[in-house]
Amino acid sequence: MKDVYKPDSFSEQEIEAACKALASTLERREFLKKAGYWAGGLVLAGGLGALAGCGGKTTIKETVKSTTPSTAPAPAPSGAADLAVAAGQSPGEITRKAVDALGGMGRFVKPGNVVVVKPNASFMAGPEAGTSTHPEVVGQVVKMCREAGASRVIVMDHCLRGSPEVCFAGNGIGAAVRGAGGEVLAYNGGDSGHGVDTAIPGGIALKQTSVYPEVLNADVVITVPKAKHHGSAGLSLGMKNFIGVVSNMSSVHNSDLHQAIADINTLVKPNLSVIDASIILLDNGPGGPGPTRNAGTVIASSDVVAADSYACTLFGMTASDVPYIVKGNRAGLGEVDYNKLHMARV
Amino acid sequence: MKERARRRKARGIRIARRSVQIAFLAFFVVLAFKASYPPLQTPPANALLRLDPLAGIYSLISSRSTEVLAAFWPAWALLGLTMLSSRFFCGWLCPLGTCFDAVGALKPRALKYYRPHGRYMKSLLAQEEKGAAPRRIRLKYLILAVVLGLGLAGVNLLYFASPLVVMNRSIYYVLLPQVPLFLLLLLLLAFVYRPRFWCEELCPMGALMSLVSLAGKRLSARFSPLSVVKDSDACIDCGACYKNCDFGIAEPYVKRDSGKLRSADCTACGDCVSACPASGALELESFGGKLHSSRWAREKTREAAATSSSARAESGHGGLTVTRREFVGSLGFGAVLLAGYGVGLRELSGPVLRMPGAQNESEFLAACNRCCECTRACPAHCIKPMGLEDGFQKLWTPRFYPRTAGCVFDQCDQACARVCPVTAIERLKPEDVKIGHAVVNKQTCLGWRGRPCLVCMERCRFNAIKADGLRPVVLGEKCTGCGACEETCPTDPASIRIFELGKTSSWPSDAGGGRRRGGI
Repeated sequence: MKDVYKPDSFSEQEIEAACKALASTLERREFLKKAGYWAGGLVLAGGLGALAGCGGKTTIKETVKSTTPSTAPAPAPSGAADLAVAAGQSPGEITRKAVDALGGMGRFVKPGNVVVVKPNASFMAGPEAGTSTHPEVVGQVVKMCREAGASRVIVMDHCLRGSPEVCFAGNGIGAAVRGAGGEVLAYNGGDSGHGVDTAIPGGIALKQTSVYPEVLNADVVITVPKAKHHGSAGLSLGMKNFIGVVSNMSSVHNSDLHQAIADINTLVKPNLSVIDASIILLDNGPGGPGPTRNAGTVIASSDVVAADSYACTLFGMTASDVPYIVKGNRAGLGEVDYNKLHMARV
Repeated sequence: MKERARRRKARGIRIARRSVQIAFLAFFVVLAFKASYPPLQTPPANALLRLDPLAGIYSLISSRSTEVLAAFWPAWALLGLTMLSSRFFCGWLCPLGTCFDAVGALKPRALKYYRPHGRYMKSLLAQEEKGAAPRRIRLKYLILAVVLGLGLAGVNLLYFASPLVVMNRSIYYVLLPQVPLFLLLLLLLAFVYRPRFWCEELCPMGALMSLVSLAGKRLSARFSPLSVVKDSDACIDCGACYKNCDFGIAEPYVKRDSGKLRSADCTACGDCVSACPASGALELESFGGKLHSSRWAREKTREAAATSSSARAESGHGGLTVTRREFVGSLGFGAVLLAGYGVGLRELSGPVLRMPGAQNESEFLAACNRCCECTRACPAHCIKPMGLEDGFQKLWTPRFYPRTAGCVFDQCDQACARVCPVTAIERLKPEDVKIGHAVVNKQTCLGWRGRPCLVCMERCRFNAIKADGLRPVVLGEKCTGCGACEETCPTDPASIRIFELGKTSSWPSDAGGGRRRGGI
């Protein structure tokens, strides 16, 4: 049996000799070659996986033309109002009436401009709940901007309850905007990674915060808020709406909230404010559900403070009940006494 | 001339095997990627995790449902193939095995001193010559017994034991990116000791497949999709086959007759076929046909066969190398472990925040494989594998971290439950979900200190927070514990927190709001 089984083939000497032989340069080269094959194979495997894994994802972050926002108020054409209040039961129609009373969208939007429209679109309930801007109002504003020759109309908000897609589908704003020729840019409210750290030169409570870059880069900014009750701010109106362009919300709440709202408005000055007061939420805001009232009104103004101030009256309040409006006035953002303005009721 | 032909054959086998291995690894990685939201439906992202027969057995034990039996069809199919082709999975498919092979290939040849089989085999063969069956305790059968025994008692050990679970979890960790420590340990072992040490001596999934392969060991190679077949007439008894076998299988050398190799551990990797200098003595065959190089077959010469000796060891070979006594002994060993570990588990299983549908804690720990598939699928990234903070039993189990992100079960259609390859996560209707309950820390909450905030109320999708002036008040019956409030609370640390159900929910009186584990 010894002849079958060859113990010699396993001698220590043989193994040692083999080790030495294998350590030669030739072997090293072969090792490198092998290592290359394997590394290549593994990278290929990983890469395939990565490709497949990333294929489906799309981010809706777009680069926006970098221009400084026009801060100077648009000169009013003769006969045009500075504050327009339109009443009626069709939110879309009265929106157009109100803006036309100000001299039309052409007063604010010039051909080729990039426009950012900021509605209240954080909640997924439909227009009857009074928590988000009426989709017809947003759609009409987008349409008017396009008619005035805007190159792009970006409708942006960040969503507070659940995913942006679900949110913009639920409140109807997504469909309305796309139908009117605008783009939807929806952020997740929990996500602070998209903001750009920006100093607020005129800030009192908030000296610096993180702001979504699209707003900073836009030629024209339009605030299209829903007039509604707000648990902490009292009322949520045009100025309050710009909390939604800040990506790190905790910086706002950790400082004096009302002053912070005014501070943000010194950084992002809206060229036009269109307040949707068609169905207003009277309590348990901003998210609802709560009692609503059909106020059938749309307020448009080039003066964000005056528009907010007027909107307070719909709730049986005055601007002095909502500190951020007063602070906005103090910061020189606009006129709190709307009676001083040229007002038109249509 | 002959050597050239052998090399050509070896190259063919190597290329074929490496291609299959890398392709399968790529497929595995792709599916692991595709578990991310929304998880792939066809093929299901967790299909390959259901290849694991041990996981299937575990799930059957914990759920006792025929649905699970059907869901794990890949595992049963694999076991069926294993009966025909032994452990081909380990040699050709297993992604962990592929990594081991890669590590082995990367090791500088000068350092390769791992063929201890050689000397070890000498003693085994000497025993065989004396007519005694080789005695060799294979740790993997012991581990299998322990793993199955503990599985019966509701203790899950697959997180160390299943190569597929280890790989899947490691892919998740690499993508995080974090270091997959356990995989690294195994790779280190493979590098320092032997590439396939885990597969040969430790892997309980491999042990199960070895056992199953015995059922079909007498079937002819004609029925086998992949097997090593020996032609003893051509064999020159050089011993190259077992010297080159990563698993130290001596069967082709000591086997007297021709035909399919029966060794329970044979992975049909073809290393022996590649090493065999005798033309036609060893072949990789599929359903009776040669898998490679017909030219080689044509060149087949039988001259070497003339020198072949007819004297061979006749003792039993190729079966299990574990005795009944050892097996029973290991069962006893498992029982002892089980007693200690099981009792310890019950002692330590306080509730932990998990995803909706996670059963009660001890059932969850028994069912969860720690494959991390759910953590990949979560669109909110609100679940993450635990560390050792709650002890060994909860290592790598998914924990819900509401401060990182709230759970969006009402919007994702329970992606975690959909990808879970086992029965750890139950599918629930959104209205039945109750993860925990939110409690406000009135000492640190901005609203309770008179400042306007109410972010929690703004974020609550279930209207479970009411404003009492500026103060948020949680409505217990409406709160689902989704954690949107805790995620977005502007104070640091959060002044509203999700507490585990069944845990006393009270904030520490010092109002520090620090990490507090458990009530009284």
